[in-house]
Amino acid sequence: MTDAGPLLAIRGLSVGLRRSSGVTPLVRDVSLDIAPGERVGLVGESGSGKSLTLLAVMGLLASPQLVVTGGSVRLAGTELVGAGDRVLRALRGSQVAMVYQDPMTSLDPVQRVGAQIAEGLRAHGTSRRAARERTLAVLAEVQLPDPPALARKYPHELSGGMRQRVMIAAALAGNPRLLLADEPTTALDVTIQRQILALVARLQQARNLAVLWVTHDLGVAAQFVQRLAVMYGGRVVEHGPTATVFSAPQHPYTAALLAAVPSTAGDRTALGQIPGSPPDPAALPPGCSFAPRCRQARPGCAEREPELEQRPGDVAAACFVPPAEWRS
Amino acid sequence: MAGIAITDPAAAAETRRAGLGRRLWRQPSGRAGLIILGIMVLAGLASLAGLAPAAPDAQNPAATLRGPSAAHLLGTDQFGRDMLSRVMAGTVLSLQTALLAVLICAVLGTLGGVAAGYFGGAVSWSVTSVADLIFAVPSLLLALVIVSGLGSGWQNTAIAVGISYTPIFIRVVRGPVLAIRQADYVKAARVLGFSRRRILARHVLPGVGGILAVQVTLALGWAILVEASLDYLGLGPPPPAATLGLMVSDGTNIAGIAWWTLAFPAIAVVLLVLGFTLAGDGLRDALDPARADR
Amino acid sequence: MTAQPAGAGASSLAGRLRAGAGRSRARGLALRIAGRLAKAIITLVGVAVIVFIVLRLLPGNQITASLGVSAGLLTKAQYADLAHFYGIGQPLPQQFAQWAGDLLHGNLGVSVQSGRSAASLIGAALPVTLELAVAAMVIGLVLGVGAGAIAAAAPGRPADRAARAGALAGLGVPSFVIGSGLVAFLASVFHYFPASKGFVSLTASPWLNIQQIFWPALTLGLGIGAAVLRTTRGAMLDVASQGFVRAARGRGLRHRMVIIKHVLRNALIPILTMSGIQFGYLLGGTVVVEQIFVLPGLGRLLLQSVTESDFAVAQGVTLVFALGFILVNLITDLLYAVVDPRLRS
Repeated sequence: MTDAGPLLAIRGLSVGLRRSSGVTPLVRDVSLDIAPGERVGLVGESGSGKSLTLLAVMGLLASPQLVVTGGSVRLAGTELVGAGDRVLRALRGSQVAMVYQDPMTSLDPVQRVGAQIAEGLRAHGTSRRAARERTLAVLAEVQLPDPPALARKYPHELSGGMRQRVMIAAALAGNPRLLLADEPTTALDVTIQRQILALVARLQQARNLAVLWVTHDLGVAAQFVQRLAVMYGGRVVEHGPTATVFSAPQHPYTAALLAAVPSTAGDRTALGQIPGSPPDPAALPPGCSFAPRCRQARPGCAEREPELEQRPGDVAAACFVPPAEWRS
Repeated sequence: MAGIAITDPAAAAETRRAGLGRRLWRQPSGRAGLIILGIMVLAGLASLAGLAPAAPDAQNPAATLRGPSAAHLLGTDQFGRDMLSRVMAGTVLSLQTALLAVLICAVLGTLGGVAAGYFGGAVSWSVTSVADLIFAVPSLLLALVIVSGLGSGWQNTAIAVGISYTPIFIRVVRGPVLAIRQADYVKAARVLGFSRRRILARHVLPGVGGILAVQVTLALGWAILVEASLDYLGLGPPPPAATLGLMVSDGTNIAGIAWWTLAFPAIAVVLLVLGFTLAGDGLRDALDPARADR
Repeated sequence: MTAQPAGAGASSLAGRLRAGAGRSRARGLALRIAGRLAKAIITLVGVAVIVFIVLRLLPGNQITASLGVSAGLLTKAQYADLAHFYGIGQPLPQQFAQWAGDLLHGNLGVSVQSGRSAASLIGAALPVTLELAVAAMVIGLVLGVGAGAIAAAAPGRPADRAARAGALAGLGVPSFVIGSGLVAFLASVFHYFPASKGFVSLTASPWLNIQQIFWPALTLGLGIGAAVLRTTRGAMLDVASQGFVRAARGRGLRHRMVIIKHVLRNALIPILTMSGIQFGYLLGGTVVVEQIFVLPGLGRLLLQSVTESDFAVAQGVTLVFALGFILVNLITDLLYAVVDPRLRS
C-alpha cells in the first residue's frame, strides 16, 4: 500500500480460451507496472489481447471459457488473480474503474443515466442522498450541461459524446485511483474524440489519476501517454517511454505501426496497412509471431520466440534483429 | 463475396440440405425428438399394417379393466378392449389429423404469406388484415367454433385446426419473403427477365424453406395438442373411435381403479407433442448454429 | 414477482405524466393510446363480422337447434313465424345489422336452450373465467419469470437444467392431460372431488372458492409458465452478453443486483410479448379446464352453446373472448412504453 510501489503491477499475466481441444492462449506473459498518477498506453491491432488484459485486471472476463491461466495482478498491494467476488467487488468502482469502447452499448437503455452513475456508489455503501449529490457533482465535472436535468435522461436521449462523458462520470464517481480506458474514443467522431481525450487529460491532472489507455491509434497514444507498451499476438513486443518509442522504435512491428500513421497527427488511422494479418491464436507460428509479416525477418526468427529484453534508454523489445541493421 | 451478391443462397441451401438431417441428429433435443417420433410413427404404421395385438374396438366382456400383463401389455379398458391396440390406433388418428391440418395451414399460410410479402399493396393489406382478424380470436376457440359447425370427423377437426393456425404461417412467411424480394439476387433475376412464377418457385420459396420446416414441425405438435383437446371435449370423432383425447377423458373417471386407462393414452399424447416440440427446437438450432450455442 | 415491476411501472408512468416531463411527450402518448384504441375497435368489429358469418355458414339454425328433429313437423306458417322470431328469415346483411344494433344496446339475443338472455348467461359466467384467467396468469408469470431468471443467472448449472427440463415438460403436456391427471390424483389420494360441492363465488366463501380455482389455475399456469420460462431465459441470456451488463459489474454491483436491475429489466420486453401471446392460449385453455374441473365459466358456456347450436350465446361468448384478447394486446402494447423509454417519444 505504500506510495513507493506501483499502483498496478501485472506480472506474467496469461489469459486463455478454454476449449474441449485445449486452451488457446490469447494473452501471453504480459508484465506492466503503473505508478500512481501515471499515464500508460497499451497499443496494438484488434485481437492482440490488449482489451482482454484490461478485463482480466477488472476480473470481468465474462464467459466461463475465458480464464486467467497464469501470472499475477496486484492493485495497491491486493492480489486480484484468483481473488473472490467480494474482494473484486470492493475494488471495482472505488479503486479501479473502466471506460469502454462503445458508449452506445455500455449504458443500460432502460435506466436513467443518473441512476446508473449512482448505483455504483450505492453498491459501495453510499447513502441515497449522498450518491445523488455525488452524481450531480461528477456530471458537472465531466462538463455536461445542467446535471439535474441530464441525470433524469435516458441514454437514447444523449449523443455519443455525451454518453461517453456519462460513462467517464460513472467511472470517476467512486474516486478510483486507476482508470482503465478501452479505446474510449474509437466509436466517436474525430472532433468529439479530441474533446474526450482533453477531458480525460484534464481529469487525470486534477485527480492525479493513473490511466491505462488501450488504443490501436498511435496518434492518440502520442498525445496522452507517458509510457507505451506495444502488443502483438497476445504478447508485449516493445515497451518504453513514449518519446523514445516514437523516435527510435526497437521492434519492426512498432516501426511499421509508426509508418502507418499519417503525417497529420491526431487523425484516425487504420493499422491494416501492414501487409498480412494478425496471427491466429489457435495456430501461433513456432517462432516470433510477427515473423510471417516482418520485412526484417531472418531465418532464425521462425524457430525461436524472442524474449522481451531490456535495451538502453529504459526500453525493452522482443526481437532478435538489432535496430541498427534495419533502421536507415 | 463482397459487393453485390448475385449468388442465390437457395442454391447453396440445396447442398446444405443433405447435412441438415445430420445436424438435426447431432442436436441433443433434435435427436430425442426424432427418436420419440420414430417410435410413435412405427407404432402407428404397425397398427395400419394390422400388426396390433387386437382390433381397437374389439370388446371382451370377460376381460374388462385388466391391468398390464403379458396378454394385454397396456391392460384393457372398461369394455375389455386392448389398450395397446387402442393407443396405437389413436396415434394413427392423431398423426393423420395433424398432418392434414398442417398441410392445410402450411399451404394457405405460405400462399398468403408469399402473396403478402411479394406483391405488397392491396394484396398485402387484405391478407394481413384477415390474418390479424383471425388472430384476434384465440386459436383453440376458433377451432372449437369451426369444428362444432362442421360436425365431428377427423377431417373436420383437421380443417378447423388448419384454418385457426393459418395466420401464424402467414406472419412467419411474410417477413422473410419481404426481405428476399429486396435481395440483389432476386432483383438480378427480375432484370434478367425471368417470369414471376419462376422467380417465386426458384428463389423465393426455397429461401423460406428453413423457416417453413421449423414452423411445420412446431405446428404438428400444436395440431396434435389441439386435436386431442377437441377429442377430449367430445368434438372429435364420436365414441367408438379410438382417439387419444377420448381415451384420456374416459380414463379420468376410472383412473382410481384402473390407472392404465388414463396413463397410457396420456403418455402417447405427451410423447407426440413433445416429439414434435423437440424436433422443432432441434431443427431451429440446426439451421441457426449461433442460437444453439447456449 | 412479475406483477410487481409491471404495477410499479404503471404507477411510475402515471407519475411521469403528472410530473409533466414534457407536454409533447404526454400528447405523443395520448395519440399512441388513441391509435391503439382505434385499431382495437376496428379489429373487434371485424371479429364480430367473422364470428357472425362463420356461425351462419354452418348447417342448422336456431329452429332446428331448439326443436331438434321435430322441426321437420312444423307447418310452413309456423316455420315462418319462428324464423321471424329468431330474425333468420331476412337476408344476411340485414340480420347482421339487426344483431349489431342489438349488440350496441347490450342485447346479445336469447338462448334457445334456456330461454334466458345471452347477456345474463355471459354476465354470470364472466367473473368465474376472469378469476381463473388472472390466477392462471399470476401463477404462470411467477413460475416462468422466477425459474427463468434463476436458470439464466447460472446457465448450464443444475438449476438451469432442471428449469429447462421442467419447461419442456410444461410445453409437451397438454392442459387436458395435466388437468385429468390432477383430478385423478386429487380423487384417489385426497378423496377430493372439485365438482362435488358446486361452484361457490369468491364473495360467498373465499376459502372454498380459492380451493376450487387453485387447481384449474395451476393446470393452465403450468403451460404458461413453461413458455414464459423459455422466453425469460433466452432473453436474459441475450441481455447478459451486452456491454452495459459488464459495465454495471465493473461498478462493483452484486451479481444479483445486476441480474435484477439490468438483465431482467431489459428482458421484460420479450417477456411481455410472450405473456400477451400466452393469454390467447389461456383463453382457449379455459374451455378445456373449466370442463375438467366443472367451473361454470365462459369456456364451459361456449362449449355447451356450441354443441347445442345456441348461436346467440356462442356468438356472445366468442365476442367476449375476442374482446378480452384484444384488450390484453392493447394493454401489452401500452406496457411496452412503460418498460422501454425508447418507445415513449
